[in-house]
Amino acid sequence: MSQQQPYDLFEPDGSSGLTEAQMLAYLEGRLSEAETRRVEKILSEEGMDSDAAEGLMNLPIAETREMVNQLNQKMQRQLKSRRVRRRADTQLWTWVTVFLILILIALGYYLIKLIS
Amino acid sequence: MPAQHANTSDEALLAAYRLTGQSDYLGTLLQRYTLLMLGVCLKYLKDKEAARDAVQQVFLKVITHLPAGEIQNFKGWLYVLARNHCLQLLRDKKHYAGDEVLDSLMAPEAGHTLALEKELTLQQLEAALQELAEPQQTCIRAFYLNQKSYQEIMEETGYSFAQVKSYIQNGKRNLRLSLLQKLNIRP
Repeated sequence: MSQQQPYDLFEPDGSSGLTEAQMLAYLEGRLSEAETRRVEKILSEEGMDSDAAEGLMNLPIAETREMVNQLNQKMQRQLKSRRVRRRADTQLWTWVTVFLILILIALGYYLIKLIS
Repeated sequence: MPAQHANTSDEALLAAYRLTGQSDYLGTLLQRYTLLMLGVCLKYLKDKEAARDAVQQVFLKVITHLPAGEIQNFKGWLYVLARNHCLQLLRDKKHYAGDEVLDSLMAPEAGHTLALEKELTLQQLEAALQELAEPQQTCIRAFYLNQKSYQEIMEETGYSFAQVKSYIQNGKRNLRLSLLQKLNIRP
């Protein structure tokens, strides 16, 4: 999990709403009054940030970080295994295609021979 | 999260993944929302092991069945996917879920903000506020009029975080409906 310093917590990161760092800082009570206000205005709207804050509120922060790390690692493994599987699938289909083309060539040659 | 993608938008990451097939892009995108998905699943399932499993299942769904069509708001799409997955689990396994599950299924609010800003008077606002249920009124006044934080409201009222958040959200929704009614605008 990325660790960000408080000073860049509210820099844009390409996603909308709260970032992981902002949410963690809020849950840990590390934000200034103005930043807390900003986060809570987002939480007063219904949506993912609001639901997530409610769910995370009762889980100790250390455990939250640990679970997120584990989930990220597992997700990266799933992505990697899918990439390997996709590569293996592609190789299999390449060989099947080559084999079928060779069969067709052989059949064509045999038919031409037969006719002539 | 890889530093080179830190400022890349969700939509750009998704487009790059679709174009190149490189899983790094999808990994970065999903990692951005792991914490939020865990929180959403915890809220609905109320069990950390069940929530952890649910996040993994949602990840797998995204990795293996990412729709070919355009996704305009990835975060919103992922939220709906995670929430529906949890609700399906609750239906299947008959987990206990509180009233907030039903609350969260309500349709998004209609956007009449501009009309409200133009026509709203303080008297109408005050009248609408007084119509709210007591806890909603207390929380709305404390948060918006007295600029108090959730923590301060919790300390003053004895409500939990979830209650404060819910009273503010529901109070806002009821306030909006009440004001629209007073202004003769159909919600």
